[in-house]
Amino acid sequence: MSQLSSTSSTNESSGHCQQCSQPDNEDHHWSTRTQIPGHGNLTAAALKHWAWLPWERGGDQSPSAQCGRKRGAGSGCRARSGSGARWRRVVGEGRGAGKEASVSDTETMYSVLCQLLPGRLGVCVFETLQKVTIIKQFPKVIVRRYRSGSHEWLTFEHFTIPKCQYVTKIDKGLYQHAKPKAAPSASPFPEKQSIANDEAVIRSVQQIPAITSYPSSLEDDNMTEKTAMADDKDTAQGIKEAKQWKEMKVQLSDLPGIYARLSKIKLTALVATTASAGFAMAPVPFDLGCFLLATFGTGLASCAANSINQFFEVPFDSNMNRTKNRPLVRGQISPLHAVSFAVACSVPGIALLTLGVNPLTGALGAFNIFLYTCCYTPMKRLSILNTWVGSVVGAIPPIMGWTAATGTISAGALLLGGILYSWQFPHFNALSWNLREDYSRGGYRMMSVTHPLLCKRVAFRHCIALIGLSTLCSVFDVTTWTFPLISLPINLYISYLGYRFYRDSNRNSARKLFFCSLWHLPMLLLLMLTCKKSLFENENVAHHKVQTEMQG
Amino acid sequence: ISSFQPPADLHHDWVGPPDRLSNLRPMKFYTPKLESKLEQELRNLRMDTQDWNQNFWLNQNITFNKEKEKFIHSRLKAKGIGLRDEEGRKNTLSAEEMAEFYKEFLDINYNKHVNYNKEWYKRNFTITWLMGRVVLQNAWRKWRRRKEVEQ
Repeated sequence: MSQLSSTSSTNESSGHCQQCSQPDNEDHHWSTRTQIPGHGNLTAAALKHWAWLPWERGGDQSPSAQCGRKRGAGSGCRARSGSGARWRRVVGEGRGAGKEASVSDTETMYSVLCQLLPGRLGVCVFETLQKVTIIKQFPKVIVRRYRSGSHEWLTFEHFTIPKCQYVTKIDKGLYQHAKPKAAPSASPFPEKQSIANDEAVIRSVQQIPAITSYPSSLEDDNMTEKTAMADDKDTAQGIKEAKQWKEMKVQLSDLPGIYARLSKIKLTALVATTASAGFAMAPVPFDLGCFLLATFGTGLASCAANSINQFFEVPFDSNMNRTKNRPLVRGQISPLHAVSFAVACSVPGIALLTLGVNPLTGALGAFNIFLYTCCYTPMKRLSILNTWVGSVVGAIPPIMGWTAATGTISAGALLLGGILYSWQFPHFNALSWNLREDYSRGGYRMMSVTHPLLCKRVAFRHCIALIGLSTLCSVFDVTTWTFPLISLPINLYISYLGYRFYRDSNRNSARKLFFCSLWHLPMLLLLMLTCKKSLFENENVAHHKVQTEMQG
Repeated sequence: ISSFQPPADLHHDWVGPPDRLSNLRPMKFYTPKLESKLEQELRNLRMDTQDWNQNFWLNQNITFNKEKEKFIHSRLKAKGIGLRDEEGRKNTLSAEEMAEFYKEFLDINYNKHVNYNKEWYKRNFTITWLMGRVVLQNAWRKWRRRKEVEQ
């Protein structure tokens, strides 16, 4: 500490605060609180955890006494963090901040609360005066508490170490290197520097044993790193590449996300919704248990089918932008794992449907899985007929819902299936329109690539068909006559977009049609539900009963 | 192609970033010390399939891009437009014109794609089947060892 004193005395007449090299003038004052960007105000309690330098009694010799002495009040200055945000220092004048944070005279540094503020400030704390812990983020802040007579000060010294500290972790080893800098700034500590720079504020601490040990090590670090980097660009390249290699070990915490992507959870949810709509539309009293079983079973079957699909298509998915982040493509799980997951979903799913609902539904579910995985998926590369097969795959879930409720396939079931079937075409054709290049390169045979005219025609045709099918719903007593009327607006809209797609056939119209199809279907099903025709004698009562059950 | 070597003390396969040309991710397979015949067979098959796949897709993507460029050049020439416009940017054809190329490409390579498909499915099934057998074999071994330890 004597060294501090000696330092302070040499600069006594400078007229500048020795700590921050700013003119020691009226503006130069402390505020009562410390603000660190992003963390609000540091309370005294927090300050308690900051380490302190021991100081000696006899305030005249403490360095900040030099600052404070001029006015008898605390003094300090503003510092800026690397981000350019301002923060002010704390005053210790017994105004609250200093009181609770009092430390005994001889107390040496104790433990550290290293507050690492994201990317901005790091608080560096000393363990002892002799050691300076440098943390990897910058800048580093050193807190000191001084006392002079009845006044106490806390100073925050803000160091900016070489701006960019790269810490890389390769194979569990940590490598750190600093960006090579011009020599002066590489070792900020031995010299006193005042840099009037908005970005970097470097403070000097002279002749404090603790600090001198650091710059040498930092310099060494810099030197070795500089030479290492200068010598070996390949290593940097190698390191960069090495970072991208990942161990194929499954982390349990990742599994839910992986399974969600493997089973295409959003698509599965839509499929399950269509099944539940099919169930709800069936003209029978609503059975909640059966409903849940049917929906859940269908969802499981869909998960299984999607997983097998991804299992088959790994190299093709890698080559298409839309699908290159799938779990099997990224190597997050093994093919065996994916197949096991599929089996684990399909067996309970089909069992649930067969035993918990009825065998017909189970058979339909199994058939659908087969159709999707063994017919649609391989056919994608063989013939454009895959789209029609795929549409059947999409049409079966509502039929499954209906059979789950009634146990038979009737006109209503087929009608519902028909609506889903027709819907698939504008949906898929619009999607595939903008992926023509990827499909071509991947070897997929889609209408949009090989028979573009047909693609457009079919999409438009089926949009119109939706209007017809909605009307038929009321003919077959699935819904009341209000349904064709209230569904007309959305059906007309999608037909309009289908027409635009047919006529313009550009990227924009395809996108519009695709996104419209995404909300059109749920909307249509919802409207259908509200217009459901009850076939019971006491129509009104039964109707209300069904409605409340569905809402509940 | 990659010079990356996974650390020796870890016991899993490693998967790397996608290859620039083939878009497939290379894998480095872990060789356990006491590798059984089955495991060796699996590893060999996986490495072989990886190379085969890499070759196919490398070829496919390079050919596709080359053919695409050729197509664009020939069409632009037919139209009388240069390869680059005044600002030096590449001239491109409309989506409709490109669609012709895409269709052509698919038709020309139909048989190649079908054959690749068949082969890929076969390999994929075999690999997965072998993986299953290896898992069972390891489970069996572990169980036997535990029995021996107990006795």
